[in-house]
Amino acid sequence: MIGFLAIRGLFRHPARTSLGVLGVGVAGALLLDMQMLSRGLQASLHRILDSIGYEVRVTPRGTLPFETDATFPDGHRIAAGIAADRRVDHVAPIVGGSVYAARPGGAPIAAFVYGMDPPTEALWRVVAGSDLVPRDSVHAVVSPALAGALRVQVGDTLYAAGEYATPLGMLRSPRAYAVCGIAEFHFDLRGQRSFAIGTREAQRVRGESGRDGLSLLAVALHDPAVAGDVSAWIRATFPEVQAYSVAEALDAVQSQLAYFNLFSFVLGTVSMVVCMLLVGTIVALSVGERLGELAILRAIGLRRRRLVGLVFLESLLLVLLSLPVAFGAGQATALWLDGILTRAPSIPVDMSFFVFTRRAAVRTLLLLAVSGAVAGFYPALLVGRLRIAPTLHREVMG
Amino acid sequence: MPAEMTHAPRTRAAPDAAPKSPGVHPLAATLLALAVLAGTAAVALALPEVVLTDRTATRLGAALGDTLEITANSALRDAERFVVAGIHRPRADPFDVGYNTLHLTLHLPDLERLLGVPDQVDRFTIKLRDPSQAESVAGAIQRLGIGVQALTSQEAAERNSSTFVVISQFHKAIGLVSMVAGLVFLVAIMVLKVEEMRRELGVLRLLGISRRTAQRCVLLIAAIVSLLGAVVGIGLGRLAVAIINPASQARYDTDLVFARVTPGIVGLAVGLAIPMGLAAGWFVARRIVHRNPLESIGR
Amino acid sequence: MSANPSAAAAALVVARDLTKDYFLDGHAIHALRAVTLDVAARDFVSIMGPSGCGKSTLLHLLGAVDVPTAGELRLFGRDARGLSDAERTGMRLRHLGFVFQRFFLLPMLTAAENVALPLLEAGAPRPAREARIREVLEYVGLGHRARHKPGQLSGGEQQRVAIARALVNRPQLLLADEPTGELDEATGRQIADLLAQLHADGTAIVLVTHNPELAARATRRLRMRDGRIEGDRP
Repeated sequence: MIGFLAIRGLFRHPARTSLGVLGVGVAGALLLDMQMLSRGLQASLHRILDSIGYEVRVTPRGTLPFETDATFPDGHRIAAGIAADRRVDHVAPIVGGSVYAARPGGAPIAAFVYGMDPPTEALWRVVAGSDLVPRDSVHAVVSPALAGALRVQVGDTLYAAGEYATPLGMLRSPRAYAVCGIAEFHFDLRGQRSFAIGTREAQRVRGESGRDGLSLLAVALHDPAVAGDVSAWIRATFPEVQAYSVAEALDAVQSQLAYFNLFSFVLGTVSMVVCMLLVGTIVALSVGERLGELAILRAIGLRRRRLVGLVFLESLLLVLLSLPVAFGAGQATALWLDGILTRAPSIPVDMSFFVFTRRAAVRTLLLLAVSGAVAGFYPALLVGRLRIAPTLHREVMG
Repeated sequence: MPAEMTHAPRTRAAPDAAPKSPGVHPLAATLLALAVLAGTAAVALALPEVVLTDRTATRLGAALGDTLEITANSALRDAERFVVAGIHRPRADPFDVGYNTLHLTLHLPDLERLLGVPDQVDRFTIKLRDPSQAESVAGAIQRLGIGVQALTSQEAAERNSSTFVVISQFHKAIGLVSMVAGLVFLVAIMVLKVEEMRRELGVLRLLGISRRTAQRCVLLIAAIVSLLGAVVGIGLGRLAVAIINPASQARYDTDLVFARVTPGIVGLAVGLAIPMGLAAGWFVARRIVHRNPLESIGR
Repeated sequence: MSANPSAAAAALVVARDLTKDYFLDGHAIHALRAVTLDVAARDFVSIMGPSGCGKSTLLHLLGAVDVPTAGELRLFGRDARGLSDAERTGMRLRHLGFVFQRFFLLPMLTAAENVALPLLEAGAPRPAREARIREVLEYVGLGHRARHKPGQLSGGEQQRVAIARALVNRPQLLLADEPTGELDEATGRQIADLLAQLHADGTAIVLVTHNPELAARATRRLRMRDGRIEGDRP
């Protein structure tokens, strides 16, 4: 019964209810955005990591993948040691770092080299031309930004070197590669000038061959569920490197997103307070206007707790009605805000700040429900304390 | 043709704003520092020096005069011993918030030796006799064509601030969304408030009060509600800042100020709240005062 | 004195020296002073008196809406002062019906839905509920207006819906506070006829009114002044 009374009560003043729904919806949209932001970058990274496979990543100690130009020595020995574990399916040695690139007769520019042997989907996807072949020592795939900067296309020659001879204005000991493809690199920053060659070739370009320096080992497992155990085993067995399961990498990234965590918490709290205030005000004013009706309901025999329940239900219904607005407007503003934030120079192109996840949606629903319930508390108190006779008397006299 | 270095290396460099020992640049690559406490002052005097930030010293458990073993080898081989010659508290760096990076400062030759890359630096900083010549000097260096890029301090700051420019735009966008939410909220509250006064306004109209006077009454209420709301909001903002800053500084171990209520923000809050409240009040008052007074009093 | 000894044995309401005080800004307002009254199963009692004499206060006490400050009050055999709020609410649901001057219908519900409220609270199953609603609306002559909302009904029709709502749970006692106060003379007579019909059909009624014609329809007429019953005329 109180359900039907609550619904009828809300639609009694359609304009007022609509405004309330709009107001709660906008506050709810902001709340949803903050839930999306709080773990958005992490969720985005998670999606990328999940989509490209490899359950464990091994990096130089104290670094995250591609965070610096640092490498660890004896990379292939470590890779072989890891690959020998029965839980490991295969290990991909990877090099990544800053180098210089030039076209024949052109001025060198700074670029980023990835060194990886096929399969290479973990780091890039070819959009034109073809990919590297196993143990490739003559080909390179380039990013659109580098292709544009050097004015090279598939079939052209690319020179790469790890050092630049400043007095001569030339690359020192450059190596030549034929551009076989154009690729989008998953972890490139906006406009990053990258190219990819084979692992050993990247080591040669960066002068890491002597020490067999690698930037990263990507480890694929037979059973992804043991990723945590394997990463712990690698850390214990090879103390010169750091190992991360996907979950551990995400936790490490999350701790670096301090600003966004704080921002989303503060703004999310403000949204909840606004929601509570608006719902509470609307329901309290509505209760105040119909005290006479509520008193008569008590007079004809409706129990006090029914009416208290009615008020709480009206609060929750107001929140429920606002959900389409909250989620619709929230998604739209998230797209807009994400477009702003992803212009930051240090964010890979494939990543987003605002990611709609089940967790964000459920948390938003729960927080809005709590807001609605708390908002109903004061009006429910008014109704709970309603004295029938004086109220009826006042209504008649008024 | 002059060489270009238009794309900065991908490594994360510390901003130029932090004070440095002369001729020394903080490590951008990974350094592995082992803290080994040695006791011998005589040994310490012969060792090369290292300067730590206070947080680094705390994390390593190191004090002035202590000895550290430092190596660039991830297998922790070939470590060299350094004596802690100084501990300083750097200016808070927003890029450092949330990171657990250790910061050490060495003499350049010692760093080159550790890294095994002699005669290589990431950058020069140049102090001019006449700072007003910065642009022309930077241009001249650029024209040398020796494969470097020369930036004035302002240009460098702008480059380093590009992330914060984006953050600033983000703040403005959030501010806009908050204003929209606030406006909707204000209109909703004003509708409710004026609806609550419906009967009284109806009686006033029946007594002969003009529509204009009734509307002004509503607008005055709207202005007062908005102003009071703005004042309360500013108070709540100050309270929030008083909580957020110490809590965040403690949480992230930094001196950075995360939030601030400035006179400009106060002016903006009041300057927006009152017109918005008046707009909401005007919109609602129009509906009510044009209604039949008998309808308003429920007859 | 207004106790009717012969009716006491079958009395729905027994009130002895009933007193009700209100406190306002530290001052006591004696709304009722030592009122003694019995209401039997077939009584039709009207109460008249000037404004502020305590008529509505007495009605509220008889209706278990309020509790006396002093005195004895037995409702349907139970001591009203010992009842909890939930018990008094249940008594109003099952044994009493209320009709007010201002109708107090819920404007967003139809006539049938307004009448249904006590049945819903009492947990009546749907078929029985719908049948009973039709029955009482027909009884008050509004069977054809069941789907209309109060805004679509005249004052008299609204009051009849309010009476139907009061009757739907078959109360033993109907309490009416100025039921014709907001109605014109002709409509007021219609309501008076309806109340008389109700009484004839077996419902006890206690009626507060300023309307002498309506009061004259009662089988017992009480006058009140300053919180006391002055006269009790058959």
